[in-house]
Amino acid sequence: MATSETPTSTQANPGLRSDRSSAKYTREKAIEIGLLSVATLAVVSIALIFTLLIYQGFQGLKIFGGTIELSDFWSTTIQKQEIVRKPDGGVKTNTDGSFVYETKTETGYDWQPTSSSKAKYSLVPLIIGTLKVAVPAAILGSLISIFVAIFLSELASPQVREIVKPALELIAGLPSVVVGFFALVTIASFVQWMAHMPIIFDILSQTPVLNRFFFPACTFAQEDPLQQICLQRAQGIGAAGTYLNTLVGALGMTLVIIPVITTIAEDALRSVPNSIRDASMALGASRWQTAFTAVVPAAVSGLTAAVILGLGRAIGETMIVLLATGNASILSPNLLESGRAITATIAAELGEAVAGGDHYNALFFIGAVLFLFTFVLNIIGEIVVNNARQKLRGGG
Amino acid sequence: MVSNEKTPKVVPIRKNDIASRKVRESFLEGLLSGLSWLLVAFVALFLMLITVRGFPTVAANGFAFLYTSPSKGIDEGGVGPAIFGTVVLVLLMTLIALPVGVLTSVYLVEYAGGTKASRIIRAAVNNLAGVPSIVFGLFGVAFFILFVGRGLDKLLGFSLSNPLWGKPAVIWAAATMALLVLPIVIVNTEEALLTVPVALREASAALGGTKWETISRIVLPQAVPGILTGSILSISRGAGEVAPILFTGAAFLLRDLPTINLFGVVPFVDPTKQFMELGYHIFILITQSSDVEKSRPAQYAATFVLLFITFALNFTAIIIRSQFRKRAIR
Repeated sequence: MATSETPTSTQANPGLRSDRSSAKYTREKAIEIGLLSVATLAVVSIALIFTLLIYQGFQGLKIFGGTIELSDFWSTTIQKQEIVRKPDGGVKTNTDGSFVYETKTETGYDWQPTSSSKAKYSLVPLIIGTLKVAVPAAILGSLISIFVAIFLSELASPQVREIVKPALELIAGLPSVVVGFFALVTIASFVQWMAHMPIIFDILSQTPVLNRFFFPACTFAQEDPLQQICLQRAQGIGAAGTYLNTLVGALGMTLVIIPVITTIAEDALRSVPNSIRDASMALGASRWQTAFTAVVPAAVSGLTAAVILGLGRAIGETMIVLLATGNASILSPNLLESGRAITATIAAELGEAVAGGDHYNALFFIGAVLFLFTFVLNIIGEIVVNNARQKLRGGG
Repeated sequence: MVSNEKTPKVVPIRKNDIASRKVRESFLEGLLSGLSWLLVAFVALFLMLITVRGFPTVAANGFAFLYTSPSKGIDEGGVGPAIFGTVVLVLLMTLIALPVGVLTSVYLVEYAGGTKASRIIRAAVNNLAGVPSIVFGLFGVAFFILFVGRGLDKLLGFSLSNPLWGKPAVIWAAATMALLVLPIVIVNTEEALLTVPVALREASAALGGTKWETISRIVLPQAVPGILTGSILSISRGAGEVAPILFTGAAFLLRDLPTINLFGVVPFVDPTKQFMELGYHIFILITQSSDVEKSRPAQYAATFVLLFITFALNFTAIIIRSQFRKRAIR
């Protein structure tokens, strides 16, 4: 790496770092370039992940030589030949005795990539499944986490912190397959037990709006009179719960995102300058009033970011939804019914999909959708965090 | 608490108000501390549940569960091969992730202070940390196995029907996992590098040390505890994640360990073989054993082993880090 610059007076003393022609300088420069190239690996891999997902996902589309229309990812329209029935229920026949058929077009939102007649790739049930787990988890998780974060940063004594913080770190270190197992064996029974308590069962299955969202599973014992009542009510509103359902998944997910949200929220609260606390105290506010009327409003954007990042984490989690939600791809608002998330779909189906086939490509397509979801949430979260930090620094 | 001297404009605070405020505040205090203690209680109960249900099976027959192979399909027997596979996986993963992670953080901290390059790299690392684990699995299949692996096979002349590299293997699982834990290594190393005092660097430079000499002989040795913390945390994460290895190398049940005898005698890890892994084994036990209810003891036992490993690792990391931070503050 001989330099083109003209030798300066430092040339007189060879071996100095400013001497650009020395072997030492060359070596240093080479090391720096080597380090830079290693450091770009992170950039390269994230770019590679993105392009590969997009590339493989789009391979299945018709425009790129596959067989899937882009609109198939929304809904599939199939034309069906159906026997026409008379109002009394009998089959309508022609004069010669043959059945009368009519062509019906049906629009379905199904994810059935291995269906024998026509593979269906609608993303709608998968997105609903994902959101049914992630949104309740994010709501419940942020409620708990933000309270805990306020407690830890504003009110707890150092001794209490010494106990609660490691507990949070232990939760953060739980492998997600373990949480999934816990959800499957313990949370699921707990949810069922709760929903089957006669009073709660009555409230859940009879309150007009509530029964759309929380209709429990009819898994009472056969001789239990509630079983018959449950089946009747289930038929009445056309909803039925299952033992493994999205609420079970959401509760398990809550566990996973609590440490995520708490850590970020606590950071946000701690970065509020003490001058704000002092000012509030000086005006006569108690510790609690200071926490809730001065510190929390100052940290609100950081708290928002914590919730957003928690939501991103919940959307991307795989093993919990795979184990605990039942994985039936259905369109239903009922949280006590099974649901199939995007992550679980990929995990359950990639093993069977033939590499390069439509199904395989469709899985990469939903992978790309998932990646975009979480990517956007992360970026938004990051921007909000940085803005909050800058604002507080400027104001403090 | 409330000052008695008020300007006339302010409505005087009545005793009642203060009393109700006190009630409200002690209620809130109870709620918040109750929530926090609930979390602690949950962790304790959770650990107890897994220990009570899992430990007896693990300890039966002189801890045979830890070193025997599964039998009768996977319903009975131990998790020996799964533990071995997990160790192999995290070892290979660390071999890949540690150098890359440490060198990246060295570049970020020592060379590219606040430059544009460092901002881009940092953003990439942050985003890498947010990528869903199953997406790493997709990437591992499409890139490592089908692109790199098949490419190697083509280069070395292996056929598509009998590939050596272009199939799920422990090396590809480790590479995928390495990508997943890379941000953990980088963040922890960076923190460690930043705590090394500037004075040390200046002293080294004053004695004529070049930048790299300063880094390799002064800065990095000082940062070893931080690097260690990062590696332990990433090993714990890597041992627990299942989604990235579902399709890149983990196997349902294998008779052989992923080893090869070098020169016919020296046993050595064979990176091209599939492996059993503890987290994946738990997943399989839960979903695919012939009688799920009957294999519950094995499920709890395997979960206990996995939890024990990850918690022991995390605990070590936490202790090293707190010691390190104390020293750094001094």
